Order: sequence, then structure tokens, then C-alpha cells
Amino acid sequence: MQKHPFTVALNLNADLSGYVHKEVLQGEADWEINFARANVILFKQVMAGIYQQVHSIPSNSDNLAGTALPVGTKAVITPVMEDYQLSTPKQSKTKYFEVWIKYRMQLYDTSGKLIEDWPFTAYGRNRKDLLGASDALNEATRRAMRDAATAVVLDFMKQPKVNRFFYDSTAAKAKN
Amino acid sequence: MIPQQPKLKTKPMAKGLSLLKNTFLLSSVLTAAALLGGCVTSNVEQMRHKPSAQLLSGETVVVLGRRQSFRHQTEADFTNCVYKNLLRRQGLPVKPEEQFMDEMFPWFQPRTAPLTADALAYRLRDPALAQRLKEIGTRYVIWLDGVTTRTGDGGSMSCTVGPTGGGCFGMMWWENDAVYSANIWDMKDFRSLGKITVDANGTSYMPAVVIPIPIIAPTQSAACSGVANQIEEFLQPSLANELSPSQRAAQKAEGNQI
Repeated sequence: MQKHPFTVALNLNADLSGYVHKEVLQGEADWEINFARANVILFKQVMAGIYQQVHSIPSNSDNLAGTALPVGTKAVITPVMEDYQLSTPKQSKTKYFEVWIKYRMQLYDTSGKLIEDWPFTAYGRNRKDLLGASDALNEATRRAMRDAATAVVLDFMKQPKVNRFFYDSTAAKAKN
Repeated sequence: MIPQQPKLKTKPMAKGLSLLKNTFLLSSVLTAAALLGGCVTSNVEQMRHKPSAQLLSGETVVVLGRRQSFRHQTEADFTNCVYKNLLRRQGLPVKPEEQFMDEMFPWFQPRTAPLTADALAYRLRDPALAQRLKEIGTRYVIWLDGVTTRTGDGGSMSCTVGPTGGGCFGMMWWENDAVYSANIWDMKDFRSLGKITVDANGTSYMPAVVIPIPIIAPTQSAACSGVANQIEEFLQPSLANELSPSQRAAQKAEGNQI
């Protein structure tokens, strides 16, 4: 796939990199899913595949005002992990662990104005009997994250506001 | 004079013999069950659009299962079974599905995978996709669609456990139906070589007199063998088409697992 000719700043805040999900299930084992740096690696790789240049900016909040951006940066993208849900084979009465992850991709201009806040859900599932329960859930989560990567690569730039922001303003600049 | 056998020594001996007899009985029953197996009726049909193809050096084949989020997906173990059959028994240079998905990202992921053979044909006409397929050397895509379902079951079994031992008594049965189709696509001209359909039906039983004895009808593996054997008639490895070292290693490793 061809990269879009823009430089963007990627804001990977602490909420995303340190996301921990705890699930207490009745009559079943309790779960703790620690994403550690998995989301950081995911979004860095995905963005590097979409845009010509990607800079990670240090940030620990959603407030971008005052954050120094690298020269030539056109936009700031902040991925947000909003929710994580799982379903065990016992709950669904199937052989599968299923995982849903809800993300939001927030696009800001360089002044910190929110242009788009695009929500999407990623899904992954894995059969229980091939692996242990922990490995099966891990694999289902990995597949959900892979699905998230597919969604971002294929659909983020197709969002009307996102596409307009990048291409209309570039066309306007070229006209002037 | 014949020395008298001390009585105490006979008891453990007798117990040992009885244990030996039980173990022998148990293993005989299990072996018989494994040998018996359930019966499977399998019907394989082939529709050919083009003559058989011979793979050239460097060309590879990939087996893809239908992927759709939520419920309807061709089972990964069926796709894997066909892959292993083609790799080991037919000696075709088959690429693992996961490797193909990585190479083709973001296409062929569950979110973007085509749901029907027609949709796959349409997708394969995308020039960017065609270019990528050419780069990675995948000449033939085998598209598997179908699922194994339980069409009926019945019977009952009760088991009890007590201080002196336990056991089960009863009889259970279930019937599985494995219906799959395989479309073979040539990536050079984006045309189908043909289609294979298989319908395997079998009933498994589990009678229990103290020990439950499963007599399993291998419907899914019968369907897998049926599909793989027919694919062999469509695609033949060239004599010059040797497997790459990584494929040979995969073949060796997986050959031991079959």
C-alpha cells in the first residue's frame, strides 16, 4: 500500500501504554490482561505504514497545548483504548475465547483542535482446546489487535473528516 | 518332597495377576475401539474448468479457510489438516496460511477476507493485490469453505463412583456432517481451475459397560483427506520444483505430528 505523503505526530499517552483490564467472573477464574507496551508497538508500526513520517511525542495527557511538535508536522494522532471485553467458552457455550477491543482514533490539528474522533471495534477469537486457557485468551487478544491494525490501515484515512483535513488543506495550500 | 507355598505370597501375586488382567482387558477394549472407529460415508465431487496444472520452480500454493468475524468460519484445524496433507503426502510447496496473511497484510485478514468464492475472485482482480501476490510467488490459492456440524445426538449414560470403585452404564451417539468445498484459483489469470465439494457423514457411538468406549467416526478428517486427494489431481509438483529449506523443515516437523 502507498504511504500518504504527510508527517504526523503520534501521541501515545500513559493510559494506552499501561492499559490493564481486570475481569471477575462468577464460577470461573479471574483474569488480568496487562497490555504493557503492546499498544505502543502496534500503533507505531501501523502509523509508520500509513504516513511518510511519524514522530512519537512524549505526552502524559490529552491536552496537547504547549507540546512542541517536530517541524513539518501536519497533525497529531492520539489512539485511545476505550474498552476491552472478553467472553469465555463457558459463557458463550462454544469452544472459543472471544475478545472485543474498542478504540478511538483522535485526529488533532497542530493547534490542538479536535478534527475527528473515530471509534471502531476490533474482534479476535481463538479456540480453547488447542492451547491452555491463558494462551488461548492471549491469542484471541493478539488477533483482536491485529484486526484493529487492519481497521486503521484500511479505514482511518477514508473517514470523510480525516480525508478532507489532509487532502483539502493540502490542495488549498498548493492553490495559494 | 514338594515345598509348601507360603500363603501370604500368593495374595499379592493373585492381585498382581488380576491387575495385569484388568490392564490387558482395558487396553484390549481401547485398542478395539480405536481399530473399530465409527463408519463415515463420504461423497466427493469434482468440477474442472481447466486441465491439471504443474507448479513451476519457485511457485507456491496457499490454503485459505473462510474467515468471517463471529460464528461462521471454516475451522482452523480443517484448513491445517488440508495444508499438512498437501505438504506431506502430496509434496506440494504449500505456504502456511499465517505466513501468507502476514505477507498480504492488510488483505486476507478476518475483517477483509472475502466471504464467497465470487468475492474472492473480485478481490483478486485488484492490481495492487495481484502485484503483491506476484512478489511473494503465490501462484495458486485454494479457498476452503464449509463447516462440520452435529446433526443429531441421543442416548444416555450414567456414571457412579463409590469407595470400592466406579463405573458407567449406558449408550450415547452423535452424528456429524462435514460439508466443505475447495475452489482452486490460478493467480496468473485469476481463473478457477475447478471446484471440489465433499460431504462426509458419520455417526459416533459411546457404549459403556463399566468403562465408556468411544467409537469415533472421523468425519472431518475423512472430508480433509477427500479434499486433499482431489487437489492432488489439479496441482502436480514439478520435478524441478523442490521445496525450500524452510518448507522442508516444516514438512519434516509436521510430518511427525500427523
